Amino acid sequence: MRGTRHAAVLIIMSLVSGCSGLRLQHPLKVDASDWPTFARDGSRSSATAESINPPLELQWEHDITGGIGNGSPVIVDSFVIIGNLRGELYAINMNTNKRVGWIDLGDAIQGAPVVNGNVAFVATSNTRASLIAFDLVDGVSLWKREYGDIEVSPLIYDQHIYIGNTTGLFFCVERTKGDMVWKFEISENRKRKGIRSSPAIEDSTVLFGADDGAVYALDAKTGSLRWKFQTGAGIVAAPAAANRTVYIGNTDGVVYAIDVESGQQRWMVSTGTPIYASASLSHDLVIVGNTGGALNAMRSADGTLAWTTNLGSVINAGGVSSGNTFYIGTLKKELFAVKITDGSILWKQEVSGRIKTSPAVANGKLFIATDNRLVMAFHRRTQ
Amino acid sequence: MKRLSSLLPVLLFLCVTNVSAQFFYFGRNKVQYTDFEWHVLRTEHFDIYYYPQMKDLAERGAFFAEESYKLLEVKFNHTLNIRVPLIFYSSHLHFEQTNVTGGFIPEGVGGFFEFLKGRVVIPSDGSVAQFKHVIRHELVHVFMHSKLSRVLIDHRKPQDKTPPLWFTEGLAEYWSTDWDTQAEMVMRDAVLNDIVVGLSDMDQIYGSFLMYKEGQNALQFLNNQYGNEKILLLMENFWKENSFNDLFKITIGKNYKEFDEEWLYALKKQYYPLLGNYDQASRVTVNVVRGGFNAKPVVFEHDSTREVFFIGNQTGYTGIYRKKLDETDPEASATSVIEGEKSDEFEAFHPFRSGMDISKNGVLAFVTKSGENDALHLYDVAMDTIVQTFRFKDIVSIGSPSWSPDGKRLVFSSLDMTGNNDLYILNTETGDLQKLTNDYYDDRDPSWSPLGNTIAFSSDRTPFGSRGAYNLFLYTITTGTIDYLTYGKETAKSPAWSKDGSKLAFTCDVDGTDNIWIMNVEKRFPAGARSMTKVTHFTTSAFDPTWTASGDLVFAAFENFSFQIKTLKNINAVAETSTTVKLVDLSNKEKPWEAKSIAGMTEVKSFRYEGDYSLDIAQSAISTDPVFGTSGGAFVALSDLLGNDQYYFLLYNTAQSQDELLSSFNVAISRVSLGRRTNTAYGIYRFAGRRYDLTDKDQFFFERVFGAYFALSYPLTKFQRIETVVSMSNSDKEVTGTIEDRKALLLSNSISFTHDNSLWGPSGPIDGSRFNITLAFTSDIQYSNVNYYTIIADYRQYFRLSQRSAFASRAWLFYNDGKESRRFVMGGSWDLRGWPRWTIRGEKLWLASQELRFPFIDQFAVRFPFGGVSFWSIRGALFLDAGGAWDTQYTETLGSTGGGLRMNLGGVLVLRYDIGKRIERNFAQFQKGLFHQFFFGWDF
Repeated sequence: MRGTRHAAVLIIMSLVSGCSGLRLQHPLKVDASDWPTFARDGSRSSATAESINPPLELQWEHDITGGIGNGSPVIVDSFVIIGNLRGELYAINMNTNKRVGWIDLGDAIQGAPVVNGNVAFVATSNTRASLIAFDLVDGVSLWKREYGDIEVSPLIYDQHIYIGNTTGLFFCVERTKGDMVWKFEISENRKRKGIRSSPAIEDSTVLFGADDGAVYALDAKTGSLRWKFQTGAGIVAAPAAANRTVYIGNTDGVVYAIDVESGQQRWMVSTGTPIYASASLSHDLVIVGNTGGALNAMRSADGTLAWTTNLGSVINAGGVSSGNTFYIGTLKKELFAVKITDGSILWKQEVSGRIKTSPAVANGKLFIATDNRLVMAFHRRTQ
Repeated sequence: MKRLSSLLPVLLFLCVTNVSAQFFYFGRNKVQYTDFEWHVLRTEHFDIYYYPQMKDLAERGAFFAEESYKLLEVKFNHTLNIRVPLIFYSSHLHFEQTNVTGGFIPEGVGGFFEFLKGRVVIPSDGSVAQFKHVIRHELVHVFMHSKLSRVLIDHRKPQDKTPPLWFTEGLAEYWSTDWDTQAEMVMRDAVLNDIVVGLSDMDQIYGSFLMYKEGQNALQFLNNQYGNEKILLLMENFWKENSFNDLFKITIGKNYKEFDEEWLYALKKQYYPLLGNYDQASRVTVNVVRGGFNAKPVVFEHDSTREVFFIGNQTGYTGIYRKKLDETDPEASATSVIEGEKSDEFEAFHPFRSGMDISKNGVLAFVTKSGENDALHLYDVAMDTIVQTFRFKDIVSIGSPSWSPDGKRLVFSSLDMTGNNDLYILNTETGDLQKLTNDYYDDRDPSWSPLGNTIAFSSDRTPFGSRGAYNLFLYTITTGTIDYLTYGKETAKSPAWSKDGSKLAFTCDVDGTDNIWIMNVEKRFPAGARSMTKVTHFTTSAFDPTWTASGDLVFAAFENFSFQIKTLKNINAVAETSTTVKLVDLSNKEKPWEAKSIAGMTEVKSFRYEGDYSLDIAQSAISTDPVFGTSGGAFVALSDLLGNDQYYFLLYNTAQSQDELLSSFNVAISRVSLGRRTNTAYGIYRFAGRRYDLTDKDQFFFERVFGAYFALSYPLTKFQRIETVVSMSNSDKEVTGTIEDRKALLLSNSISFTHDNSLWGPSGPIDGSRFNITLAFTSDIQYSNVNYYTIIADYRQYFRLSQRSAFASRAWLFYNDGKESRRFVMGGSWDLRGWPRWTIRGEKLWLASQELRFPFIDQFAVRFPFGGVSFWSIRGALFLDAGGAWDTQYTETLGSTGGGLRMNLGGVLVLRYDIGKRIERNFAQFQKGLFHQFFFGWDF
């Protein structure tokens, strides 16, 4: 009787306190249909050939008990991996909506993790252990390193992790142990200009923007500055690169196309209100939304406007191109499907929270996180 | 003093409402003069509450609100999850009646955001630019509140912290308006007079207009120097640090102190060079009145005497003062002519909005709030009496009356229920009223020409008016035509005619702050152009010029964060030597602005408001008392969106054993209605539990009481009210340790009259008077166990000795007589000082107190190595108390005398320490030794 009572107490205590732990059931199989990093790949194209055509319907939603930063869910194998602003990393089975596990990594996870093999590389706002390599299969942290307060999604390229922090330092980190390979510092940074733009890679050049309004291009191996392109206002959006051109918007609402090799401007277009969203590159278009709610598609060759569609509220995060359809959310709690060729709205779905993060598309589903702590999975509506 | 009677449950209920003025013992009244018929306009993001008379204004406000929403969602990178209730009033006088807040709304408050229910309350003052500004200002608060809550929720942090006031108000200003003339004036003055403080010392100017503008300036500097991302980052990083100083450090790399060094230095660099071309007003003018707030001067010349009349607050009450213009000592005090804020007739002046005028034969026309609306008063200077008062049925507020040359008519501006500010002419002999303008443009400051044929006035009826610019116009009385006198993006206001009617003096901010300019109205240049000449070159500002017969100008100037009356001699000679001349090109005038309205632009719905109730507070509590044991319960309050109707629910249990559980439930339900002039409250209650009777030492009893009450309060004026309470309760009382069991069906009736026009200093009243008389009768209508009557008389008078010192007097008589009449108690820091608290008891009680109140220490600062702390406004007191209490036969007069200190903590609590001697034996001898009492509470 007494033992039964103790067992009951233990069960109650474990229910109340919650059991943390994250351990996937089997080694991960990552293939081309996955979405293993922010904006899908190192070039941050936010585009996939996998086509999910609207109308969509909600398949499931999952409460991850904390706010969600500016990254997106990442999808590997059959799992959705996402961090919250409480510092917890969650894994959800994308087919069953079952929580596989969660682990507390210390402090706010603003960006998306990047998954390589069985390891998720996660950046946090914790100044003591801000870059963490977490083995999703063994459920253990392989290493934790102090790289300052990080609010971006890490980039993985050629066995190295690239990351910038809020004090204006940018690091290249060795993948297996977390040791620093090189460090780059925004020069004369007396005004605490931080790096909140997630890095991209193109042609072995690491690209990112910074609060000082500059786009930086660094040699991925040495960290030496290849060029610096100064815009007129701070940059929060991540760059997107393709065909040796990088596309990026700034908080003055100007979108720039810059030659990756020379650092020369190819074109620029002013959209009117600040841009926090990264661009999506598809169909020879640069599709980017601004805080004024305007979704603009510019021809990547010359920046001429192909179409513009007003979505009625702030666009805080970039959208994704899925076949001929572009998906994007707004702070008005609406998820849109827009026809890439002409910008017409194909489908609109009201959701229960503000959409501040980019969607991800993989395995026939569209995943989106909302600021009321939910991760949602949509799939094509069955007639 | 504490009185325990069967009325207590009723009074306790009333005390928990926020209608403090109505039901607390003293206090002024928030009178609901106007019976508003509320409607709701639903737009995409807002529910706009308005009354039908102001429908057009509400639709314009709705447009501004939606326009602001679009702008702010971008600035904050955030949207609102809830519809925002916007409650509009068409005038400040109506706004002052709102029940959304329980407190009084001062003249200078332009609107407010109540964050518990997310309500925004905004009046119009006739200016569309100001209306738009206030809407955006308050919506910045709404967005900031929502954004910061979101940031804290996202990171699962407690939502119990807020940013400092300088940041919330500074940002509300920065993101709602340009750096305007007033802001420039205040900052120039603060920097050049060395009263500017850094962010680290903002508590020194907490809540002041200077704090608003310094906050705005600091954020402007931050944005320009550190980047436009920093302000938003301060909010997005809000979860990271508990101290805003630390938040500054991680966001911009500098803490307050380091930031201050840069910012204050930049301000000096910006403003010190002004002294090369500009003057501080006191250096180049003759000072007439200094100290306090002084504005709107007019000059009356008679028998070779020149007297200036102005609105000031030298005694603490805003009123009209007079002083000889040629008085050489600016420190010499002015004579109070009309004392405002003390009587029903002159309830409040509008020193920012309405000027005065005096006729040739010495009749001063001025405006005060008087009951529901403004009244126009005529005061005969020679007779020292009000000779006429005008009130108008459809006019809410009145501004700046100006006499016709014959002294029979007055022109003034007026705001009606629609919220439009137009010009009117009043024939003071017949009372006839003629409306001169009738549109949504804001017409102000009319000034009747001495030649009689024209009226100069200031108006926003220009292409620049929607952005807040006012130009001068000339209204020709015979034709009704309106012609431009000035034209441009700057603001020109307060026109005043020279005695010969050829020139106008007025203020204009064309060079950044308000200075005085002169225009020769008779002189025209090619293409109809006019010329204006600057005659003051002050670093800060000059306002409200008025001419003397000899051509001097009398005006108000802002300096050292106060408004002072000044004179500038022989203004024509000054104008001739001035090199700052501006040609007013009137050849290419564009059409005035047109009002934008939500009507027809988007889908809106309008319907009549019928009460929208939501939770104010829901609280549960468990308390443990060493005597009465543990009790627990919950309290819930609901009110409607306009705050007019409130419900209170109380449930708790005082059982000390399982057997007592059912019998020890305490339940009360109460409803308070404040929407009409007569406020009512009623409810039912059941209380049961062990109690300690303070009036009879060591007596514990168990009492079950259930009943109902009805209370009514009718404010006669802001200063006086009548209240009545009727309650019936069934009481069953068992005294512990005895077999005594008293049952009674108690019927209580009371009626009281309260007067309060006191003016308060940091620790209590220093002027005016307070008076309460209450008559009550309590009887047991079933068993006749209880049957007694009550008389309470409480009179307090405050005699002002100087600006900050006063002599206070108090007299009490509390009288209960009859069967089982309750005892009053006395003793302690609040009444008979020196004697132990509540130890003097009797069914009858009297008390007399005399107290001298004076300033003692203005600031007491201690600086530790890790920081400093300051205590402000420590006041001193010398007192003498006398009193006695008895049941059937008078026993002894007791007393005390001594001195004390009072210290106000944050405006909500006064700590008090008294030391002195107790007096006993009918005032025949002092007790040995000194008493010391440390307690809290305001002065009586």
